[in-house]
Amino acid sequence: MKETAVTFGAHGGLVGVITEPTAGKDNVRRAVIVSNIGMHHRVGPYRIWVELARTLAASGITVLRFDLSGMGDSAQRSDAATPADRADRDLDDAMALLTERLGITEFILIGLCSGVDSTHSTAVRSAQVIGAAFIDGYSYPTTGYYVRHYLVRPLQLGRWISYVKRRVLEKEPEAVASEGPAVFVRQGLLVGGAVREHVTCAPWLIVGHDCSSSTPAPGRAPSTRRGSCSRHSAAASPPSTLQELPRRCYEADHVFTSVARRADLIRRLGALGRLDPGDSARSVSCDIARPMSR
Amino acid sequence: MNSAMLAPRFFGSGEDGQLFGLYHPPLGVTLRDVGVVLCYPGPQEYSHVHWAFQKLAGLLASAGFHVLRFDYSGFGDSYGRSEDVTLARWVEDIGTAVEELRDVGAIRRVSLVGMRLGAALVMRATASKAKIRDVVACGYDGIQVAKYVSMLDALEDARLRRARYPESNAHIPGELLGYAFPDRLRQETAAVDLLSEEIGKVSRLLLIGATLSPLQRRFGERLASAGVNVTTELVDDPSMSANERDPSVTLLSHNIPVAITKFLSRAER
Repeated sequence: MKETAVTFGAHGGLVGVITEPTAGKDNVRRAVIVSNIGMHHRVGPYRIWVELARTLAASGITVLRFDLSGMGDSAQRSDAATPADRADRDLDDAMALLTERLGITEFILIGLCSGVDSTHSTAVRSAQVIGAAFIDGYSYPTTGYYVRHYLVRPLQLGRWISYVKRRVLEKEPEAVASEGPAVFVRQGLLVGGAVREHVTCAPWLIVGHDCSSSTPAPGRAPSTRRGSCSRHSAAASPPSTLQELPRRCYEADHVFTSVARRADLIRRLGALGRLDPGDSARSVSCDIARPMSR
Repeated sequence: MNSAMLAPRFFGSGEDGQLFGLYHPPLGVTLRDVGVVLCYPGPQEYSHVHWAFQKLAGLLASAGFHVLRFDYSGFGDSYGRSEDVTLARWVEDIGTAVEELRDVGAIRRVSLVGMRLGAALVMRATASKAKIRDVVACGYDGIQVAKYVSMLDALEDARLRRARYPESNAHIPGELLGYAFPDRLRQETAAVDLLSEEIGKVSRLLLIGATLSPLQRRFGERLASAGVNVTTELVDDPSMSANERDPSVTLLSHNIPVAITKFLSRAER
């Protein structure tokens, strides 16, 4: 395995690390690309992207982890108007870097939480993206969600105190899900069954937490992320055309704060790298299950 | 920050592989032939302080210093497994980073900045390595580190109390705040006591923070009696008081990085 620190991009300000496998006949001529999660820089929470990169490289897959412009160690870029545009261009630059340096033309994108935004957008735009994983980017209501939201929450005194404090004392306005300019709205996408029609690959959807702070409206377009993936609305029924990797570790939290849970996630993501782009959603050997009602 | 000037690099030749660092070349009108190596606190606070360290690096580079911030073995982008690290290895890493900065910047004089556990590692590095010019120790938890470990344990307890079903709220042996923290490392970390350990040769020491604890005062007195020019500064930094103890929140510190830059710049006159 070899790691190379790089600066790249149209403005020369993107910082990343390329992890390449040792030369061998089992190497796969494709690369996985990961970037920022919230305000974490390219290593990811608890170094998860570093561990993922080295694990995948050990199985013959190249990985690029990098900071989006204006995040982590990367400089802001001035050639794009919105954060979504900047992220799109950053990912284009990342793919161009790997094509130019290593001749790789097939890419798999992995996003977690806010990282799903640009991952999804690029998966839609680019035919070079042959696989994608959206981890805790989308959520949709399950039976358990409705039970907790309408039966359990009203019984929690702390929530009422917090509500009064925010709305009455601090006069915080009611949160309204923005309808744009998120990548989803711009592309006219809906989460759920419609996603499959709009991305060029079969994305793997790893769903964690149900919507907790907002009530999703079936069929409503997802809102712009504001640092909380629970604000995304979704189709009422679980997406049936996406592969759902079970959140096996239902005990895991949003950022997989446990060595064992991260190892499990990395093991599952490792299968992505060897995915045959011609595989249909159902033919790949992995567990497919509905997300557990919580 | 102008990342077009940053030089990310792997360096060193440790057994487990190399260290990752970011070299910030000096900018501005006043270019100094002095370097500053920034030493992170413990791994549990690495993400928490990354932004603040990047800000400090930018301020120092703008003030004309060569700056290197790097990841310890087993953390960040550096090689090595988190489970295998030792404090002794991290102290060696600081020495390796110092030599790297001297080489890259073609300089001889290097100062060190360490925060919390990083401050303790910096002091140990000065004991084993000569020719460190100035040391900045930020945060009082790097003096008797057993208290720091207890603080981290309390944060872990608070995190687990916030867990909601079906998230697990059980302590996992050998882990602390999401990172591997084997018993060996826990004991080694808790045993650090700068009030009784060997002190290296340092010209100047800055003790800085939002508060000054009795431990810092005693440590400062100890170094002063050993001939070190000790300065203490209390800096009002809202980010420190609000988010100092929550490693899940990014530390958006400003006043303390500015004060550190001013101190090191003054020392150069």
